[in-house]
Amino acid sequence: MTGPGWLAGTLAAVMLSVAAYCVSRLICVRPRGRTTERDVDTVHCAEGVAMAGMLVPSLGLLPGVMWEAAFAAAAGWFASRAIRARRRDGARTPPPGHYLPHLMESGAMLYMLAAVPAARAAGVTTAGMGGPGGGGFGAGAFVFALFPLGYAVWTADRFTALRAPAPGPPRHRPAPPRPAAGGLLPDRGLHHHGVHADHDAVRAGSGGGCSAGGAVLDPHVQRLHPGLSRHSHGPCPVGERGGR
Amino acid sequence: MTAARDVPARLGTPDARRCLQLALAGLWLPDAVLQCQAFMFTKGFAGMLAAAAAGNPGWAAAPVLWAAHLAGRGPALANAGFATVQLLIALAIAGRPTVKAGLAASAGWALAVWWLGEGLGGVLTGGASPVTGAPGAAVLYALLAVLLWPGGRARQQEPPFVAAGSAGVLTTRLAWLALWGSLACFTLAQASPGGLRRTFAAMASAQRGWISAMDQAAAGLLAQRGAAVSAVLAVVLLVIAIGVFMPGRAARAVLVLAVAVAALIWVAGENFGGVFTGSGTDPNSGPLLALLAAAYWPRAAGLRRAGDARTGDGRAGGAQEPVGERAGGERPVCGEVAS
Repeated sequence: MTGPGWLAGTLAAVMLSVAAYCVSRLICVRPRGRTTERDVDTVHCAEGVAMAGMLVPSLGLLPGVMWEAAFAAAAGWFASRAIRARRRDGARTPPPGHYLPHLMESGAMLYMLAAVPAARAAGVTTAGMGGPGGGGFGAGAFVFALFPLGYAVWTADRFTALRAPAPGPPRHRPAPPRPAAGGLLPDRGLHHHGVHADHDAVRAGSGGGCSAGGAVLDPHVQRLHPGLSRHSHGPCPVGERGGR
Repeated sequence: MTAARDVPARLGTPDARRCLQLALAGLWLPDAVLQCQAFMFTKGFAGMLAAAAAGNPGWAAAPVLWAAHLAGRGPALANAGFATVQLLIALAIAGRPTVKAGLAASAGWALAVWWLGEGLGGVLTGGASPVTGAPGAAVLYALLAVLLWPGGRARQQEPPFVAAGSAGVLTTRLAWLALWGSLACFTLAQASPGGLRRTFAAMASAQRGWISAMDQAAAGLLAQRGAAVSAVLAVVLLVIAIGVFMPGRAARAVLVLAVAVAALIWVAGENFGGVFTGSGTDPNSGPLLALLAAAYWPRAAGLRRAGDARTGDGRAGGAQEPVGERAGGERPVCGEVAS
């Protein structure tokens, strides 16, 4: 919207790719026995398509009012999930923290859907916004732009903290996954790539406690919870992942 | 099961250094976002770069003009590249395996921007003022990248503050002294009865709404008091400069003062880095100065040890314990850097 056409087209292609990726997750999750969050992937898919339409108007599938209704519903859904998680888990921070970014994303979509037509109606074009003092980010736009990016930074740290090999002597090779028994299922957490892998790990303790595929515990965690080492490549408790 | 659910809250909780690295990554993000403003894709951005050469000596101005010329030939492509680089730096610092590459890129890119984009922060022009962002935000990004470099020193002896972990206590304290001392010098160099009033009046014309009104009010307040206010500010900056050499609690008080001054400069002097004007390229120096102060914040165990040494109790505080080491070997974590 605020740049040359080729840039808008490139970004629209990225948005559609993200939407396609989320659709593929929804389709492939069951046959491959993986877990995902259907509501999150669905909303991400909608966001990708809607933003592609904002960037390149010819890609707009639905009228703006329908998108607004959809993202208002999504915001309400994630707000309710955050509240329910808060009630269920008390003061534990991860569950509400998990839904907050999705709530903010839905709010950002609503903001953009409201701002873009208003800017068009006001005749603000690329050229019109292109001067010092002539326009720029409002406070709302800046907050909505920074929040997901800051969340991406935090997620990158969390995700790589789970994946990074710990320094020190080589560890024992992980034991092969045991059959599910007594309410335990083999974890496939690290096959669940994407920005939600950290939630899986952080919420369920699966990142260090239950992850497979070569992930190891943070040495700090091992010091604090020495007993965890024997679980570090093993199963995950049922319900920690499936209920989402 | 309960134990497993208790783990997540502590799983890989980043230590103080990592928190500051993430904050630095977070400060690169507004740069990338601001680089995506419409103005930056026009030739006006190249003109803004060229303006940074004004007042600089020839050897410093020539590369600035060359960079502006290059950016002006393909402003959209060049700017998309700039935004991408800044975003990648943020993500590289955020990723643990790539943190060193990210910090190295941060230092290199920031120094290039400091010269080619900010004209060395105006420090050679004689017009640099900390109120408006001297010595330049970019050089502070570079300094932070160096101070927050991971590892390096033996972990058995944690430094008394995070920044000391990369280059040693004395070197980092001297860096702080040089930075804040130079800010005091710039302030004194700019001191004149109407200097600050003119500065604020000029800023008001570039802003909108309540920020412009705030600048106009500040200009009115500072009329004919510019020299006195500059002198007071210079003294405060000097106190901050030597504050990190003081004992623990006094150092903390000075660092709180540093954060307060940084906030005042950021809001009143820098107008939030001009991020709402449509042509701001970064949040300017205020947040970086505050982050720098956090990197010099004395660790709690260091203060405990100092207190025990005064009372002669070698047991509780661990006179045999390295400075900064916690009971039980726990590392300070996010949120505890200020404990």
